[in-house]
Amino acid sequence: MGIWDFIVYFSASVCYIAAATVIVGWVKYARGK
Amino acid sequence: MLSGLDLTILVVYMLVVLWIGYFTMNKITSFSDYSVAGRSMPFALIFATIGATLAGGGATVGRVSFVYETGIVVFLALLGVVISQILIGFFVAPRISKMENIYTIGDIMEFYFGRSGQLIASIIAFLFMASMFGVQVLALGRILEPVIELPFITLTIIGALITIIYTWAGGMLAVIYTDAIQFIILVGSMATAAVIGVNKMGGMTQIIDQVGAIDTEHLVFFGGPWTVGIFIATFLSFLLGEALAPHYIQRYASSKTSNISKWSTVSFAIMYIFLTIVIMVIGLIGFVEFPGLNGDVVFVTYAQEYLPIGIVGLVFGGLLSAVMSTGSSILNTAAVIFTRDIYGKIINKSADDSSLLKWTKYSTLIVGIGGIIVSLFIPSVMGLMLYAFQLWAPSVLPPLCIAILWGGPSERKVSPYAGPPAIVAGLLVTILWLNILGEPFGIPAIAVGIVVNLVVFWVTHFMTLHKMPRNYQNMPTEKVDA
Repeated sequence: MGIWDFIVYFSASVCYIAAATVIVGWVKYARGK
Repeated sequence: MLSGLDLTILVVYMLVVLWIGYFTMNKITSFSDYSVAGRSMPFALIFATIGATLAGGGATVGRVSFVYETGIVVFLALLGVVISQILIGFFVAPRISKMENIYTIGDIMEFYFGRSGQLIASIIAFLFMASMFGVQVLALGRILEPVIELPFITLTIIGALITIIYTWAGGMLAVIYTDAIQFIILVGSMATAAVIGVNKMGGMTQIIDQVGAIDTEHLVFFGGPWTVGIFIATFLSFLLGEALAPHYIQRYASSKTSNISKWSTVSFAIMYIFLTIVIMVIGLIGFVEFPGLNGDVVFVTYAQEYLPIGIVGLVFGGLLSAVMSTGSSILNTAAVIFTRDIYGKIINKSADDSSLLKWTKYSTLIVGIGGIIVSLFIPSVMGLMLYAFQLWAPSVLPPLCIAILWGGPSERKVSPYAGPPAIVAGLLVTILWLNILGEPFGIPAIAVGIVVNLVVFWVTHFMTLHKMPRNYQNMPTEKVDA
């Protein structure tokens, strides 16, 4: 895997992690209310 | 056209956002709930709403179009957005969250610059928001037109009406909840679309080689198709164009604590780099695979011809999410500015909370439906409104930044007389430099406007330092973080 491939897959992973963070945070907020 | 499955995904998405509007409608009991979601929002939701609002049609379809037509040279200029959001996150957003009774930009300007500062900032902010809403309305129709067999006007009206209905029903609470859904769909679908494309092309290195073989300038980070002047102007517009725009002020005020507004803004600023990369990759794949297209249709073509059934619906959901989330945020802010700063402070000064809530709902409908009519049927007015879009940075932004940043939180060190003349001077000089002189010497109007704004601000400040207007409102107390 070259550096360009790494950059793209890493960026995509960050996007998925951000989406997951929102889901988890939202669920925690809804449960804590 | 979309397959049955993809169309179903889009319809389900629209039903979900409408349901959120209905669900939140019953939770709204006060103007504070409707305008700043009761100031109770956690990190995850503020992070998502800032992200969904910042990433609109320009950051998705527009970015792919630019990379397709010109190349990745825009990437460095886009770091302007990142730098701007990091600075705001660390230094400005927490201070705004700490101030009590802040709903709009007008409230902040009134605190520092009195009633005239509030009025002029509110009018500019309202025009700024109304113009941005019109742009998003048109973008909705353009995204749906190639995939659903209905006329452009019908699709625009359907998309805009759904946005207006959930914004009207649940105010800021509905906007933040839908923004969270839209953020998840947006970033998930963009990442998936890019990864599928890269895998199909045999890897990113392969794509870079193919782009380089067609046109090396498409891979230039600095220079190439852009002169230094174009780079500076674009960088400045990304750095300042939406900095501290009225809809972000409302998000900082909606945060439960000042730390939440700080870290959600900074986190999204960093994440924006990665979101931009995956979106730009789609533009490069389009450049190799679909030569000779109009840039605006590259993303849609890519999605339809390159992605599997099911993912296509998700990607179109992501594009709609980008536009609807930005549109709803702007619509809510425009309505809150009108009600709080114009109706509540000029038309009906004795308006109580329920009256403000009622009028914010009315103004959401009026601005929303007015936005549809103007953007679709009165292009000359739409042109004027787009013009207002460029005037934010050279007008309200400099005095606002100085006032908030100078001194401790909620400390007033600027002269209350300095803001309004600086705003007016910045506006007039920008208009003069842009339209009458035609940006001589290649110097961007935004830069000239900001310099003049700052000069007038400081001159007026030192001339009026010890004067105090009669209506200088009492200092708001600081909010205690939970």
